[in-house]
Amino acid sequence: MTESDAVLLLALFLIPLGTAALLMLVPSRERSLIVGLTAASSLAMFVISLYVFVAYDFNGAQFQGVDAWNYMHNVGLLGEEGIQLKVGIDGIAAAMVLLTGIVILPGTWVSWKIQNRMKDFFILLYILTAGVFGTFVMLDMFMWFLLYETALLPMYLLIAVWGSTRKEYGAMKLMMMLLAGSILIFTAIFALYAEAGLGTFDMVDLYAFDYDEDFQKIYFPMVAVGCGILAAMFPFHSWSPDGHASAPTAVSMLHAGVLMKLGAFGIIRLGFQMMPEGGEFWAPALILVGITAALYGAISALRQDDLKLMTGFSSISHMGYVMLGLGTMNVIGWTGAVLQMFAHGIMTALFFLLIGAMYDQSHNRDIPNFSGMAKQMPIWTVFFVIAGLASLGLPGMSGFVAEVHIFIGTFRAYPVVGGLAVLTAAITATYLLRMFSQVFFGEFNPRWSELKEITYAERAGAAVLAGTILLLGLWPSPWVDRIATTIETTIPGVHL
Amino acid sequence: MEQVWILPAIPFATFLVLGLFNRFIPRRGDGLAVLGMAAVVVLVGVVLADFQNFFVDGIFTPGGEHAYAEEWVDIGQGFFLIEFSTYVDSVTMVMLPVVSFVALMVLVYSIGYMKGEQRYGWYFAALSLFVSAMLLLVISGNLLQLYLAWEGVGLASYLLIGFYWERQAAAEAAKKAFITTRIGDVGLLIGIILLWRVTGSFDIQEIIHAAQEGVFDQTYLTVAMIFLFAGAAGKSAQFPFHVWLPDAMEGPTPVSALIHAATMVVAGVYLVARMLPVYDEVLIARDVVLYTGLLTALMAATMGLVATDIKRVLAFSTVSQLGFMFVALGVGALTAAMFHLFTHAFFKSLLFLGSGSVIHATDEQEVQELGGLRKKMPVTTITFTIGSLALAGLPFLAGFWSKDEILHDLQKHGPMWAYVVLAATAALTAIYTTRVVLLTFFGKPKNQQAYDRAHESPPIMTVPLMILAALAIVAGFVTYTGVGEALGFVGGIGEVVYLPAEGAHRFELDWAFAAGASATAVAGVVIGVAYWWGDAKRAAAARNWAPELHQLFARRYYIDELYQAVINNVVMGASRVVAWFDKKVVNETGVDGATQFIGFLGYRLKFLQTGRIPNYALGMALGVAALAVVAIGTT
Amino acid sequence: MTTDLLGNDLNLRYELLGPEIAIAITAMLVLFADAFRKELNLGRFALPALSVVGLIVAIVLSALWIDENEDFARLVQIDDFTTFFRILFLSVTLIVIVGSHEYIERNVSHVGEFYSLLLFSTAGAMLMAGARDLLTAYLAIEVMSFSLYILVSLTKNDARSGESSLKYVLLGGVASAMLLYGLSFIYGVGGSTQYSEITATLSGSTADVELPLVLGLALIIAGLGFKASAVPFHMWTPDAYEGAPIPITAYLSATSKAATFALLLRWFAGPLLPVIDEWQWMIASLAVATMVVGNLVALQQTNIKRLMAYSSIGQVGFMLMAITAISDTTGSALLLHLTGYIITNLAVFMAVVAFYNKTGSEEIASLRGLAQTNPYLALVMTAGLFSLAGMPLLAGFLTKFILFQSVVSEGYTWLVVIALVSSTVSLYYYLQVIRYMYLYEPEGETERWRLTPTGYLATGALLVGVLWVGIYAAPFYTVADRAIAPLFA
Repeated sequence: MTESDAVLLLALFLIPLGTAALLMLVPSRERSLIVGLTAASSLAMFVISLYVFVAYDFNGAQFQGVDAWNYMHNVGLLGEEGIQLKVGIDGIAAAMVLLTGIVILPGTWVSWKIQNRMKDFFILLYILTAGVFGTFVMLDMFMWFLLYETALLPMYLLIAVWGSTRKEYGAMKLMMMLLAGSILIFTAIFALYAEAGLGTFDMVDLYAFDYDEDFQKIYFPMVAVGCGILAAMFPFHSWSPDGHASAPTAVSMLHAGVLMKLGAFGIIRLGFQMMPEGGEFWAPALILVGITAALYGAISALRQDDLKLMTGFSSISHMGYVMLGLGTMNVIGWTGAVLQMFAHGIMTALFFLLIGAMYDQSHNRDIPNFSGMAKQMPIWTVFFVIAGLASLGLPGMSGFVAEVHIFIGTFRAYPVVGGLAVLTAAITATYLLRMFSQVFFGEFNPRWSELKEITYAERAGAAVLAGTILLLGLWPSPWVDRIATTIETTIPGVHL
Repeated sequence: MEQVWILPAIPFATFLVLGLFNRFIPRRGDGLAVLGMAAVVVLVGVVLADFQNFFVDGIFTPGGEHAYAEEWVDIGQGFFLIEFSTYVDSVTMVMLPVVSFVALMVLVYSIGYMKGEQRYGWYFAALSLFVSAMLLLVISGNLLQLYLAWEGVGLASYLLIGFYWERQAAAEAAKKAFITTRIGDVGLLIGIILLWRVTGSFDIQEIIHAAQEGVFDQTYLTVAMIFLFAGAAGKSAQFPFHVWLPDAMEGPTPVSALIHAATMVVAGVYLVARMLPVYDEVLIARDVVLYTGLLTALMAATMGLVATDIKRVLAFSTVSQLGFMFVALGVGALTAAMFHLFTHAFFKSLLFLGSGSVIHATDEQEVQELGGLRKKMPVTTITFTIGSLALAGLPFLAGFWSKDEILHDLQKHGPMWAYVVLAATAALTAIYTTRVVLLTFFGKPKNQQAYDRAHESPPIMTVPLMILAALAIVAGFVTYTGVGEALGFVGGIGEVVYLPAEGAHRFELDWAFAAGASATAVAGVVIGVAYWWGDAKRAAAARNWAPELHQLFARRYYIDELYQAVINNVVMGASRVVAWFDKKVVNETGVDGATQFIGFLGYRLKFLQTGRIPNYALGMALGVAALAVVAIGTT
Repeated sequence: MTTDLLGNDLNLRYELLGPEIAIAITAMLVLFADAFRKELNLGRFALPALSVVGLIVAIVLSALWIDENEDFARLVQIDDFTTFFRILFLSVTLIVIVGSHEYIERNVSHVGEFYSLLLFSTAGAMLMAGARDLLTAYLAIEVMSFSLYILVSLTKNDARSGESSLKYVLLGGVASAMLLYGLSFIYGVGGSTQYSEITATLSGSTADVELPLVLGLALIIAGLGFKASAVPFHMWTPDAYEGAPIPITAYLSATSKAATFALLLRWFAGPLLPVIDEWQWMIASLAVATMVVGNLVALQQTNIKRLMAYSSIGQVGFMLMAITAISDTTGSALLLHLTGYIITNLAVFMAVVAFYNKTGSEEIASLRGLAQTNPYLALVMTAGLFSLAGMPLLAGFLTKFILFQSVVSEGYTWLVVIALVSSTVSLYYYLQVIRYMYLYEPEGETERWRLTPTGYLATGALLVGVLWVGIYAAPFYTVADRAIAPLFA
């Protein structure tokens, strides 16, 4: 990637932002215009993110496509570099950007059938997207956090207005918990800036600064927990099932698919890269939290009857794997963690897409109410099964690639925990197959005989996601090369 | 032989084509599947011929053939390296013909058996998927790729057991099969990772060498290999994982023949055989294999003795026979194990297809409802009987030779009592097979409608039966040195399959010993006939003589009930607790509680705002005082 | 060249006071015009138009003194600091008048007096920022406050108005007394009313005058705390805000607060800086109490004006942190935050005014379905509230970030943590308001309605301001930085 590609990185979050602005001017009855606009911009985002991922040269510099524009400097407490609009990606960010680019595509498509205030929905959705992209590409701590918060900002309205079931409760809880997390991140950022005293928020400069070890030990957990809340880290996960259960389809997709990864990404960017010693010191805690979450989520999922709640808990379990991987402090585990972020993102997006597609018709998500759906909605079933198999870590699917790395990494560090982690995969299989045999198989329940097969937009979206699942599952090296090299060469304290 | 990867590639292609487009292909593409399979069989022949080159003037040169393709994942320049690699040696060489040939037979048979099914095309697609996964499994050069294929066959089996998913029972059986094997696979994966942890490699041969060079700590290796065996036991339905196989009979009968008799269930045997050199390093682990096999063989045989569903009887017998193979491996007799695997594949698939033919004709699989079919279905009767006798181990049929080998090796290398137990089991085998044959084909029809419905199956089904029957007769002794050479096949199976350690194994029949073995078999058959000939009065008498015992066998030692109880109480109980904790403690107390508390604070503070001026003024005065106090306090 | 009694030369360039004079004259003219309304048969736009013209003139006059630094008769210092606040206050008044003249027309008794008093109090506010002498400052405060006492009472046919103004007057009296008493202590200790000389004296040892100094400080802080409505001197605020005409509520929350902080900066960054150890903890504790109580009680409000009253109290708490950790960086951060806060607050209040003009209600519940009946207004209000909550891409996030960062950089992390927590709480009640606008269907008639042109003008300008500060605040920050410079020269 060359410096000129920085413009593309900038475009990644300016496009959705611009789209949102344009949409404000479009009268809301011009549905076709809105559809066209969103289609174009989502496609643009996808193409650019794909290019960025491919163009990232994993033998090149740590950060590529780096460029900075002055935003505020030489004023008040800001020094020469002050706050800059500084973009650039490493292998991890490249994967995350691709993830977002892929998820936003079906996310947009499935939202076109929204009848109630579609325009407002897309405005908020694209602001959220802009925040997500921005967070992944920003190398300036202030901008990073600005966009991080931007990604959270629209959640409340998106859920509370377009959501379902206990939407207001879910939305408010989600919002308040995430902002509670932000308090910790805020504090850590302030402290990081003040402690370094470089008068700049430039992350690259701050990475170079060697923070005092005690300082790191105090502030690393702040970042870890603050971002961890967004990553549904046990025990701060309880916003996630309710939030997902009540969110509209596209929002669940983006939120569970991408936003949660923002949390883990924050732990890497602000946590481990800023404060390596702190990270090493607290890594065992991450292991503990991770394995607890993995088991905890899986076991609770066994009992969930609401499809979305089940997926929510399974997300907690899978994000637990991520924490586990980060805790191992070795390249394999870390690679697994980042792969898991990607794999889980795609997989969960697919889950929520399908659940939403069915819920829109049936207005029912209770597993016991369904049976033999494979008869009524075969295509839906096939995609669902693919997502499920990926989720239970079947080889050849994305989930396995990620999980096997995490397992092996964990085994290198803590064999017993590794064993537990592998066991969790079996529990996952249990609740998923239980759901399969209940919902898809058995005598068809005529109550649903008026349900229609999923729409073509939904099929296309599902196909994109399922395709990615299989691609990563069968040919992981493009991901692994980028991620592993970055981790191996640039994450201090993480070794083979 | 470097191109051996083509073997799985062909059926996989078939799977993709049929899976996506079967409704656009004439006859839903069954012909395509069969053709693909035939091609595979031919290619296997080629590989086999190629394999002959390893014989240097009649003596086999040790080692196998490695071929590497694309590297899959590489972290730290080979530090963590997963690649797609194939490895072909004598063990593979036994598996390839079995898998491909039986698959071909089954596919042909299915054309008749599955006629008119909805999802006919999907059936062939899934079957092709299975075959390709199975072939990939047997040619895998490294453990992680093997694991991939391993789960692949599991998936295919899941899909095929659940083929009639409208039947809740089928769906449940599929679930049970997948989850049970999955639990075993946890062990397998752990084992693989444990091995990698020390050797830093997934390559089977490298691991074997490492083990032989004593890189491992003994106990560590023992643990690892036992974990590995858990996986094998799961797939091969050995105790305590055996529960899934009988239920798996919910699938279409040809599927049972291929997957749950001939091929997938022997994957476990294959895995242990593959890793046997490592097991030889840690005898404790090997003994675990031995005794698990022994126990399973006996238990399953007793269960088969009382089962009334013809397919379930066969399922139990499969479990039991797999037990035999593990016993052989347990005493390090690779040859015998693979030999039995080889013969068993033929006669057991034959038996299943035969039973399929019966079910196809009568829509009835309860032996209590059958009987006297020999008049109506002569071909089926004959072939089935041949298969049964082969299974019973009657002299000069396939089963006789291989079982004889196993018993022989057990007696040589194993403890005496184990030998006795296994011999008894062999006798039991003879008994229950005889029983099934008699109840199904001889005596008087017990259910007239079923009997009237009955008719001989079409040639498309009977031809495979006959071919397999032929094999069930000859598969045993063709492998004998002389015969082998006579057939222009350099050496018999004994030449092909052997541990690189021991020299080429030449079968010499120890006549005295064989006589004993066949005596047991014959005895078994006689007993069977004695009890179940005609109206099976004695059998009833026997049952009433020891009802508890009969109950114990019939209820499969209550193991399923036990598992169900564990799942209901322990697992679901735990999840109930966790869910409660999550709802009450984490959420309602932790999260909502905090917010409510804050709201409550605000509510309380609101009352400071009385709206009355004196209070306000008082507040200000107090404020000043407070400030002054603070100031004086801090300076 | 004239001299005072002590023989100091006095610089009497009256143009230095140009803005104040212009405003005073405008105020007079307004009164006059009002008196002869009939005779001159003036339209209903006459008075606001006149005031606007005056304000614009004043703004221009203030702009003349950018980068100058001169004192007028040793009473008023005309430096960038003063200029900054002059322009700020004048603009506030301008926007308030533009945004709410219909409201004033309808809901205010004695329109003429209203405008002129508004202008007078603006003049007072400007002098508060400029004063360099304790007495001048005090007089300026009173000029501003007395006008406000009356303005608060001018709501037509609303009983709460009179009552609230009564509270305001009486308590304001108490506060002024405290302040004056405090000032006398300081005079006693400092030996002068001139900031510069007090600075000189206090820079020396104050060991022997500890008690009077501390008492004086406590009283001053109490007095100013009242004006800034800091807990526990805040109790008048909700009642006054609720009773006053909405424009005045806006004005209270903007100018009178800002002016107080101008004064605080002048004093605590100037003459009182040497004795920082004595007052630092007082301000700190005041800050904590203010942000915690303000935000917690706001959770319970149902009336938008009371809600804004408490929210503004909470905001004062944040600003007081900057005084605690006073330095040039925190100072400039404070000015930046003040600017952002005022723009945002006015945006909300102007939206409320527009809403009140249409519905005549100021209950939160009556905002139901605003997103459908008037999406634009809903947008403005949402942007304002989110900005107050410190949400990104809006003024609040950036200014708060800079403010908190600078406070942390001065080593007061613990204060900032409290601030962050309470500002998170604040989001909760802002969301309550937003909920009504977006989640619920409108009651009664649901067809769209539009604002008056001036309404659009004011709210539009403010919305742009909120976004501008939020997205690219560099110019504002630079200005603030230059404005604070003279204090730390």
